[in-house]
Amino acid sequence: MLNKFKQFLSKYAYIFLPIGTLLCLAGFIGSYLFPNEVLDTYKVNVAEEEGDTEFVQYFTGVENEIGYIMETDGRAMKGFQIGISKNGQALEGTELVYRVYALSENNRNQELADGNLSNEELSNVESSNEELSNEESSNEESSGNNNVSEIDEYLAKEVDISSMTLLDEEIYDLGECMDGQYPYLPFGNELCTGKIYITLTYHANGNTEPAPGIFMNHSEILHVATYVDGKKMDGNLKCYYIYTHDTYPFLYDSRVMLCIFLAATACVAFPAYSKKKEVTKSDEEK
Amino acid sequence: MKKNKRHIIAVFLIIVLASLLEIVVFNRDVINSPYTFLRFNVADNEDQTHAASGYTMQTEVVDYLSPLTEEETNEIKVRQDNERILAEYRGEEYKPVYDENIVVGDDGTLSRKFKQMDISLDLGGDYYIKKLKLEAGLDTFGGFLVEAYRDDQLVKDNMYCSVDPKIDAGVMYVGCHADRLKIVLSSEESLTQDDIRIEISAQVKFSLLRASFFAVLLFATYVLFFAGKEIWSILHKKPEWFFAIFALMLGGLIIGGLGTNMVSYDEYAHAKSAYKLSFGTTIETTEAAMQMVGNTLPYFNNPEERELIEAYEDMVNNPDYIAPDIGHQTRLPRTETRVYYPMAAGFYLGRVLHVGFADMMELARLGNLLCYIFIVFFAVKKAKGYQMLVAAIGLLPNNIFVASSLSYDMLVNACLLLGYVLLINEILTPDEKIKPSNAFLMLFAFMVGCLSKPVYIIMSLMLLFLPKKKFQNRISEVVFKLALIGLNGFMLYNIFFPTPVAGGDYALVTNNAYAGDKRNIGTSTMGQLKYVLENPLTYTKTLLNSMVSMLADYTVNKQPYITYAYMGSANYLINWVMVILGLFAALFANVKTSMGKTMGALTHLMNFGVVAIVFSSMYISYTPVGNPKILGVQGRYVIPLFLPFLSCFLGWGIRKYEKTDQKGLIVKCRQRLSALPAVYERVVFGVMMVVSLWMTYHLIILTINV
Repeated sequence: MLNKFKQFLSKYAYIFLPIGTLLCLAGFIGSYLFPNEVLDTYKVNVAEEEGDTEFVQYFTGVENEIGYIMETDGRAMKGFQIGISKNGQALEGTELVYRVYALSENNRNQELADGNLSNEELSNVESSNEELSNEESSNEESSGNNNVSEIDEYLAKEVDISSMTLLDEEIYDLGECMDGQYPYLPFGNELCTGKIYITLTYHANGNTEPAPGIFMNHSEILHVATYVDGKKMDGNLKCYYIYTHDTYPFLYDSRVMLCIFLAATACVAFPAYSKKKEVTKSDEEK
Repeated sequence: MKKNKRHIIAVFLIIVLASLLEIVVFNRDVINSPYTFLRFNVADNEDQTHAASGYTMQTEVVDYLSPLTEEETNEIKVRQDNERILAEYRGEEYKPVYDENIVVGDDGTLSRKFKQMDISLDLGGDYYIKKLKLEAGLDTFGGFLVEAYRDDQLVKDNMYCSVDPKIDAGVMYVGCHADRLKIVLSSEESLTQDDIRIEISAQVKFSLLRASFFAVLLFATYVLFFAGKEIWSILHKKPEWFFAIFALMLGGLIIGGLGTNMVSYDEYAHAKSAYKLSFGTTIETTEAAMQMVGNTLPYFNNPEERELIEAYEDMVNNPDYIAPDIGHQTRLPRTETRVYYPMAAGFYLGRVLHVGFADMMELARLGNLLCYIFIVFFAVKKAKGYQMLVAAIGLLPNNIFVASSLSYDMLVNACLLLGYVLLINEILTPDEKIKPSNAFLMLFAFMVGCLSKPVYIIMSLMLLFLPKKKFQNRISEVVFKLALIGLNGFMLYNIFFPTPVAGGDYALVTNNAYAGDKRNIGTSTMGQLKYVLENPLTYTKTLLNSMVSMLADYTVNKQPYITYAYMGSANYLINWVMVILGLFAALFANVKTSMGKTMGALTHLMNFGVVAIVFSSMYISYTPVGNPKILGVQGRYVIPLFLPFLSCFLGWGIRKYEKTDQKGLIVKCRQRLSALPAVYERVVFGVMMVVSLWMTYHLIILTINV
């Protein structure tokens, strides 16, 4: 049975191997054209340092606002995860409202979102931003942390939303997550990049159950600050930043298998070639 | 029928003899023991079975400082350096933090604070003590040193055993008569006499593993010396089957003997990847699995500790006892990760069958071993006339040990062996065209073998020197060779520009500024490359010095090569036994032609090139920038080059004989040897089995299974 199968494969190798080569070539090109987008998660302040303890910052009312300033790593942030304490309640129908604001230098995003910037202008802005970020990183490496001190200076102030532009506003039903869970809160706007301010409030929607809270600890983190009603807190949110990036799962396989199939195809005695050879041989004999 | 009956009787006798040997060798000292267990210092509210009476016990506790070993100090320094890099990456200021029990001396030396409890135990009679168990509820690692006295005379001393806080106990082999014990228990905690329990035992314990060892020994002896011409004829014609049987037996003993002790190279890191791969998109990591991938599972030193540890592992592997960590991964694993499928299959099977945690790990190792045997079986089968050379390399103790561990090196060794066998076949048949199936299989084997260690793909470049006659026409030759160069190019390109990874390490992994092996201080891929380019002559000298130095270490400087990784090594002389056996297997192989001088020279050149690249890759990734010596290169990295090297000795003297009709010494010996009943095969298998079984007995049975 196995021998018959091997014979079958050998007999039609001149068909299978070129087809395999073409399929690998298609896979090679296709892998570049259709990358696989995956979530890229970063833990931020999730584990307590020695001597620190976790605590829950409960909302004191629907007007109460918890804010969080941070800077993305140059890519657009796709969302974040925070620890929700539901105080042992179901909280069906209670909604968590999260908004993302751009700090002053991000205003160009809002302009783009409003349609004030063309794609051409955007590419110019992006390339200049890229240069800027390259410059920033090289500055950071060479001269210490100029960028850091600028952010820290900003973080020391009280937050004033009126000077910021709203990039995104989303709602999450707290009934969907379990008590103590870190649900994924996606951002709808693709332009949440750079220095951003995220605010959290909740809508009780008629629920009389105690208000939810957010898990925090007392750690101080560089470039990051947490605010309650615009005033800076001692300590920060425990959270995860979510980005995405492209992977090419079949790219490696396709390109190496392309070479293997091609090499094997080169060893095939194609029937047309064999016939030609036979004809030449018989001509010579004549 | 008569012969079959003889073999059946032999198998029966082997089983009986192996069982008897196990009892005689390992239990004869306790067969007539008047007691099995005695427990000392048992509290009134505890089980009084086997509680001792008529004894006296005194304790005294003192404080002392113990300097850390060089290894412990280095471990702390490496951790601090990695924390510094991470802090630098985050733009934070780094301050070194030490454990509260670590004391930094004025000269910078590190010491640990300990409490020492001196225990004097008068047993109240003379007992033969085979095992001594000390139970103490500790939160951190401790250890105890024992001296045994009989009639106030010191009988045995310097017996040390560690106490793992996870099992709250340590068990040691004593093996002498005593009436008084002096025990020094060291720990970081303050203990009182009530916190400890001591147990002595002298019990007959039949070990299936040890009996299996004797059975394998007797089986190999029977097959190689007493099985008769019929079996030897099969051995001569189909040595691949005997390779498979012997490899499975040797690997099985290693797997059974090691249990959950992770003693192979970076085994915990491989365990992590294999364990993750055994799941789909949702990974459920139990506490036991977490300890496995964190390399914090307790280690056992004898069967008694093994029992305690396996019970602990099953307890923490229970999701109802400690909730597992839930993680996610992409449905499509990276290509490089696929080398873990044989191990992942074992982990998956273990979970499906609901076996214990230790059994699950053993199944994962067995998956690796079976995969290795399958590939090398095929390589031996395909080797035309030089099967025994391939079988000998396949049975090399280093290879069998790695195949019986959680390691992707198994696939590197096996696939490169298969790939190179097919390559040699093509070289030895210059007038035959390459079959498409052989070309495909050969390159596929090279590719799979190089998934995790791409530098070895250069071995396949030997195909560039195949003559024109091997191909259908000039175009097919050009296409084949271009495709081969493309394969090499793509695989090497992936070292410097890997396909993006999925997961949170994306930024750090893709950032060349932080590239470098984090197991060593001062590494930087970019920094080292810059140094090499700026100092090419200095680097060439460093490279050649390091290569020559390693060769000298294993040949004249008495460094053992044949090893079971961290379990230990065979004597240095075995290096030479293996070299002589390899030459014997190559010179007397039944091949019809030889490689020729040109191909031989090219093969040596290729070997040199691959070794130089292996050294260079370790210099760039693992060695601190500008270091005058290349660090981290291990002898095992050249195992894939054994077959290319030895292939140059295949068919020696044949060409001269064909030209001059004069038989040289090698040709004469080869012809005489081939006339004897499988003597050539029995010598090769015999030596490999003796070395492997000797190593298994000394490094696995006696060390952790007695």
